[in-house]
Amino acid sequence: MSTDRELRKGSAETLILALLEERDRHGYELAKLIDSRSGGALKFHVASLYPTLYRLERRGFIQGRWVEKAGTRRRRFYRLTAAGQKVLDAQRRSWSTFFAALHRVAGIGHA
Amino acid sequence: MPETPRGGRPDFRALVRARLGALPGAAGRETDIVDEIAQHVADDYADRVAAGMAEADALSSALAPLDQPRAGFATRALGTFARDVRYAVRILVRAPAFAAAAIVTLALGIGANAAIFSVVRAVVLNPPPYRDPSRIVAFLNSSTAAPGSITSSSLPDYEDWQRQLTSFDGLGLLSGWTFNLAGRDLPERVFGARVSGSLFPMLGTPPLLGRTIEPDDDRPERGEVLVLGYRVWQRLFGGSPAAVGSTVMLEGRPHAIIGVMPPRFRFPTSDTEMWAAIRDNMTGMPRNGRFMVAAGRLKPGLTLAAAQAEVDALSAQLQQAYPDTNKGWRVRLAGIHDAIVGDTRPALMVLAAAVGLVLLIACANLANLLLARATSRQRETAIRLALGAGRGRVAAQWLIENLVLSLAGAATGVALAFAAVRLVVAFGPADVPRLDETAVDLPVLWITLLMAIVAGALPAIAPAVRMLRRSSHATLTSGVSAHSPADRSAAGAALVVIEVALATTLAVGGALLFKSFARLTAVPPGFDASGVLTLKVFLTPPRYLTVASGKQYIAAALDRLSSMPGVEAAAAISQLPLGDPSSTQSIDIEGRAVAPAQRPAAAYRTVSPNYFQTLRIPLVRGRALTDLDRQDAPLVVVVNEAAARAFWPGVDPVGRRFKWATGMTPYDEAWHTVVGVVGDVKSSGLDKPEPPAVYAPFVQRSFTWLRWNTFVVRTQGDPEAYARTVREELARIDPLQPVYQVAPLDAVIAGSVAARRFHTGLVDAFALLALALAAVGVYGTIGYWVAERTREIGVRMALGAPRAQIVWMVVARAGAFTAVGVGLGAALSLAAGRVMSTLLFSVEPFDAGTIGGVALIVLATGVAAAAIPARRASSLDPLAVLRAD
Repeated sequence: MSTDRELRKGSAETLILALLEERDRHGYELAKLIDSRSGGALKFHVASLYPTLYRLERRGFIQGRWVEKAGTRRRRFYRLTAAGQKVLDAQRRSWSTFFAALHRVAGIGHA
Repeated sequence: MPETPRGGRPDFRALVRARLGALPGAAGRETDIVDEIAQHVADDYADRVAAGMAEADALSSALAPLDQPRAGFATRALGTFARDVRYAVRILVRAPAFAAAAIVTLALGIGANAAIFSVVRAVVLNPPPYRDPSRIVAFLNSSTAAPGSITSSSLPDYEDWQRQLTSFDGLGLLSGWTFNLAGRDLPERVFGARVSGSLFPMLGTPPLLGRTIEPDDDRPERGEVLVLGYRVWQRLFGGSPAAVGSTVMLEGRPHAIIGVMPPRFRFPTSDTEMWAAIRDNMTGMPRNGRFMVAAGRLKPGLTLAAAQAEVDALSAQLQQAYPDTNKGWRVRLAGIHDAIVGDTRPALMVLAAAVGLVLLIACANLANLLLARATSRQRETAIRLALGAGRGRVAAQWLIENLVLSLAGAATGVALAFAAVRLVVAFGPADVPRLDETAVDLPVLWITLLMAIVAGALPAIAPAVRMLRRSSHATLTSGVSAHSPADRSAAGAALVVIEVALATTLAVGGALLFKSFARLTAVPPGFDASGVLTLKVFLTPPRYLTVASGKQYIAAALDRLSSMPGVEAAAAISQLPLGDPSSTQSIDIEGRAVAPAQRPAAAYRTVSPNYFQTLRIPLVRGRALTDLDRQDAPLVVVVNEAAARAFWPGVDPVGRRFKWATGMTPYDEAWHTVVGVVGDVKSSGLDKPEPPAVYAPFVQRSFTWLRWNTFVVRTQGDPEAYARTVREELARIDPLQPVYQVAPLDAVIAGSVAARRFHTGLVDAFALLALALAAVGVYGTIGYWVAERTREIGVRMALGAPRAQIVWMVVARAGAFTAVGVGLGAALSLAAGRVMSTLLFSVEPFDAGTIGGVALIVLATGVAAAAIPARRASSLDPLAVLRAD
């Protein structure tokens, strides 16, 4: 597997966890946010977003629940769990280490 | 559009459900998932419509991601695999030194194994091409008087078996026969057999062309028929189908060629090239004329043991009925395959074990290389794990990388095996049956592929597990490898110790075989072979039907040969030592009446009187034979020392007399007087004791079946230079008698040990290969160890450690590894000694000198392999090392 692909897969999970850290969100909202916050650089479409969400849920990093509001259809909201918070923290550390390493090696990132 | 109900909101649930298919892993949650995704699509749709998109476009855009073809599991796995292979190739191309070392190591290991497996398959494993070959058994006679020695069968015994045994669907009989094939451009001597009409139907191999010999062909009123072997058909008849139906002259009689056998058909030996019917050629043979090959086909469902019991009962009856000839004789049944390849099996199994060890060492070497590489790739792996790659994926990537390596190694190895097999077929010894059938064929390639997969996967397991166990974190954060050097070194050391142990075992085996072979070839044969040329003539009827005509030919030939320029002497013997099988007959010693079954036996050889001088065989007592011992003179013989010891212990044999006891008149009537004793020669093998033997002057020869003649010509200079002129000389006497096997006597001796030379040479080559691989292993491990201790060594040197101490530190470590490996290997070779013992001549498998010598050599090799790392360590600049840190 190429590092490039792993990067995308790993980063997607980190992004989702980071977005859920702010507050609970539903799937469509997550997709829109990733699109807008990355300025369109990262796109998540429905066929890959939900498998990722279910995988994170299976691992216990996030938890989904149905919320019904009057007049609207029911929606599934996801919440970051304690375990997910830990993983996010760990990944943030490795990411910063990674970028630091990239910077040391290749001069990538801001000097 | 049916998906868009007119005037209403699309039914997103139905649309999503239709696109999600079986939703793997979603059993029980399907409704929730469809609901959730339908909501997503509905939101997307609504947003797009709100942004001004046409309803139909908005719907198809929202659904587009779900419409993308979703690859099935297999396709995805295949895609991943292809990506992994590409990645592996890229990685390996970037590390050419590592890749080359690994591929060469594997190519040597796998190539050697593929080649030897090809040989073992052709010689031992492939069943012979008879119908249901496992049911065919050979009848092996043995006498309690000579336990262990196997003799052929006699015609009268065979006829009794055929009449009385019920365990068999058919029996067949065969007698080796030498045919002089005339009626073509040149006379040819072809070794073949006369067979009973029942033999070919019993074996059940369909002919390539025409038909085989049938029971009716045995009837004397039928014409003589001949079946050709594939090779003689190719050689003498150009492989022409027209050969079938043509007629050739054999022994002065026309024989119709009725069929050709397929290439792989041999019976009973590889050099049997044509088969004629026995008919009445053996009529009147005595019951103790045991020189024919008998075989039978067991009835279906009958065990070998049951058939053996019946044969034993019949043998007992025959012993009672014919005590003179059958007392003490019993028949052992053996599977035909065992009977053919039995002798070669132990040597080939040792060879197979030897190459197996080479492959194991190659694997250990590869594992060592991979361990070192695992360390250098620690960071890469850590990054990939941090990025979310599953550990399984990383492990799979590792595995695939190693498989790419091992397949490249296997491909190179197969190329090596092709070359090696070609050499084996061209230069292998002639007396290993079916060796010439060796080929790197499809089954060999399958086994090679299997070896490659195992050899690629096995060494990768330890490094892969090790690497994955490390936390990604520590490696990324620390500037250096998180890999514990001590840990890595321990695994490397264990591998090197195993490598050295296996190499030691193999080297001990190789050294034992080498020593055994050296001792064997140093055995004095009892004659002086240098400068002697040998050539053979087989005198056949009708021209040489009588004993007298044969004698005339021999006398004329000796006359011509000895008067050739450059020839010092020419002599004749019926059976060339180390070149021909002995012909043994029972004797009655004068004044010592014994029961017929207890009669002693002697090898019978007829010679020209100057045979002993020509080969420089010493006369021990009495006189040699002379030209005065004519046909009409009293019958005299010279005996060898073994006969003197066996027949006349403690007394002077000169003047003693004996009679032949063949059971046939007129041979058994005349007394023969011993006139002299000559030294023993090695006649049936340098490793075999010489049997008692009797030499009679050929002019007094009486056995009509003795038609072999070998001329020994002592020449000045290179005997091979005379090969052509001796043929020409003999052609002047009789152009129809083919001269064959023209070879220096030295070459005949070498030929008698060719099979031993072959497997000794191979095992020794593998032992050297193993030693070289182990040395590379030591070098790699010690080199790595030094590299890891660069800083420590720098500090030591900065603190004033002398360079010699640094060198000692490195060398001592290599010595310690190697010593442990050598000790382990010596123990292993003691365990393997039992296997070796059957192959050794005058060397014990637990030969302390050999084991000690090999141990020293391996130890020295191990220490020498550490020389480069030691030099590197001692020439470090301590300041540079410390500054760099």
